[in-house]
Amino acid sequence: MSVRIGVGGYLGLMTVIDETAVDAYDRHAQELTRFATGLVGSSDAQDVVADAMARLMVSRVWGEATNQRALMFRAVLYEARMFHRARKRRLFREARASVRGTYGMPEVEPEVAAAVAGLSPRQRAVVFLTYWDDLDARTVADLLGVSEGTVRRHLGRARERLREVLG
Amino acid sequence: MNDLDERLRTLVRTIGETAPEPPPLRADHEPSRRPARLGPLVAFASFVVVIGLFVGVRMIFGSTDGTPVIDGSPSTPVVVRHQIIDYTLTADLSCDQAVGTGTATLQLEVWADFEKGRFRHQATYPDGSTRDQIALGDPDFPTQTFGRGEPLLVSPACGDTLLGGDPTTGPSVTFYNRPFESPNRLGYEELGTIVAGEHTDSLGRPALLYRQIIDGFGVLDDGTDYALHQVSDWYVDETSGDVLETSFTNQGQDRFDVTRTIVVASDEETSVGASIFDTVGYQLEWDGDDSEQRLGVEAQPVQPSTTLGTDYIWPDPLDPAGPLAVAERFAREVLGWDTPTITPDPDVADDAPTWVTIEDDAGHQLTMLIAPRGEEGWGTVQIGQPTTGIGASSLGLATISPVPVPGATQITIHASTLNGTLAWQADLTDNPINIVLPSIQIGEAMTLIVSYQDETGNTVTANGGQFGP
Repeated sequence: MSVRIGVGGYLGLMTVIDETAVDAYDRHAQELTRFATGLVGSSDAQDVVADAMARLMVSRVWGEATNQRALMFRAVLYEARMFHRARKRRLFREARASVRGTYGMPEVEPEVAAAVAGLSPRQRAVVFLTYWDDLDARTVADLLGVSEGTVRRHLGRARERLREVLG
Repeated sequence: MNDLDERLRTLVRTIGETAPEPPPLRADHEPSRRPARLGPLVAFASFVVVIGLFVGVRMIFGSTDGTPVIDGSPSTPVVVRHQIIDYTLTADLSCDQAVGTGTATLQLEVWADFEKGRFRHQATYPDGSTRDQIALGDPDFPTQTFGRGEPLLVSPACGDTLLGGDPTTGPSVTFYNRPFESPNRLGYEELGTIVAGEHTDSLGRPALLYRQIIDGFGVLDDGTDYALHQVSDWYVDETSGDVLETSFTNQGQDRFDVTRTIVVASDEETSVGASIFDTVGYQLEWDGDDSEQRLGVEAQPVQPSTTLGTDYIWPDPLDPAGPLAVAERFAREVLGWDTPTITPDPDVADDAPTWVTIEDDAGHQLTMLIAPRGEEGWGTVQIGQPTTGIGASSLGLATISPVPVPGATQITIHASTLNGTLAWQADLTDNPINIVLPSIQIGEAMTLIVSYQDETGNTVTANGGQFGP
């Protein structure tokens, strides 16, 4: 396994990155960033992807991965959940208003955007992957590392909630 | 395609179009939202190289004392999920041989390093004593678990029937809200149904409430039935989907009322020294790799001999002819008992759930709980004693743990899944502790019938239950 030492894009920090990791990221960076946008909004998507990849690529599981693309999607979902948790604590401390509707969603059908923003990250992940590229439940399950039944349940509950909100 | 699908597709694609350019890849491990401090970050980058050399040397020469290698020096900072969990067991027991009546508490402090696969929880008891466990691999299915100190929480029990326990007695380490979905565990999304209204957990945090209610029965050694009522609650953070608090109440009519409550009081990422996972001074308590190979048996798929329902266990569709007809059909069609004796519960109302006992010519008895659902008909909601649950292997496949049945040499399992009813058989002659069901994961089985056959192929007994919401 070859290793290259380069200058990362963050504070000019010297980093040690496995070359295959760089290649894997280059291949999937666009779809991962798009996925992150669906989870946390466009203004925070880059941070979430960058943190997820930094965390993943020094981990033991990365070296053992048989499906690197799926692992990267799961890492972004994890980072999005951590992001929501941290933001909620911060908002609570600062006694600000509800976090709903603050995802930087585009102003198209705002009631739909607000309803999607009210879903949990896992539900949002399933909704995004299902509707972005018309992925079937099995493919979404493989990407997120869950069973097909779990995907169907997430999607069913998300649709149920959206139907309630949207009337 | 309906209107909701179309609106969602439009929205998702619109959101996707707004995605920014991908960020550059970096290999540090400092969250990007923290204030930039060049000095510490450069120092951390130096550590990466040092750690690499250290691990390399240890991999070549190995560890000579049998203890696991700590990845990095004891002072190496590692980022972990850190949780404080309050655990309470409340038991009101009125059975014979009652043990553990009253309230018992402990507090768990958990450190989880999913990247390196190491997990520690420390229980602190009211008297100040502690019990530590360190698990390697996965918190739920560790390959090894090390422990020190003794579990002190008394498990409430009615005779031999345990009704709760100390969370530090098994090989697994407690952790809530895993970073990735685990195929090995069922959670509120699989089991619970959302309860309408505004809810808060015991710490006053706003939450969604998911609930699962199971009504069934237990059987005493003398054959007496008693009603069981079990309620699982999950208070869930609406935004993150994290479980904030969960409880399980188990009520056995005129015998026990036990509630286990788990509150995730705090959950955050923090940096700690790697020495927190040092197992020096611990005893090896579990070696999962060896155990699973020795004790697990893989069942063989077979053609299902009946069709299970998804809400009620059997039949599918429900039978409007009534509970006695359901019991008789079950005896003939599922168990192969051609001339069953059917004994109804004499005290039950015509339209209420009822217990029915069936018996074959050889004297084998089986009790079933049969309930109506409107005009659709009647179906079974519990078969036999609630002894065989569904679990999971470390690879995520569903497993069941057979119970000892005198004379049984073979087990047959039917499960309803999204792909219809599936069936398997396995040999019991070596007394396997776990039987792995290939091709389904734990969350996929909705109802289950497990039957036991003797060496002539006759069914001796069975049990069954319902698992989905």
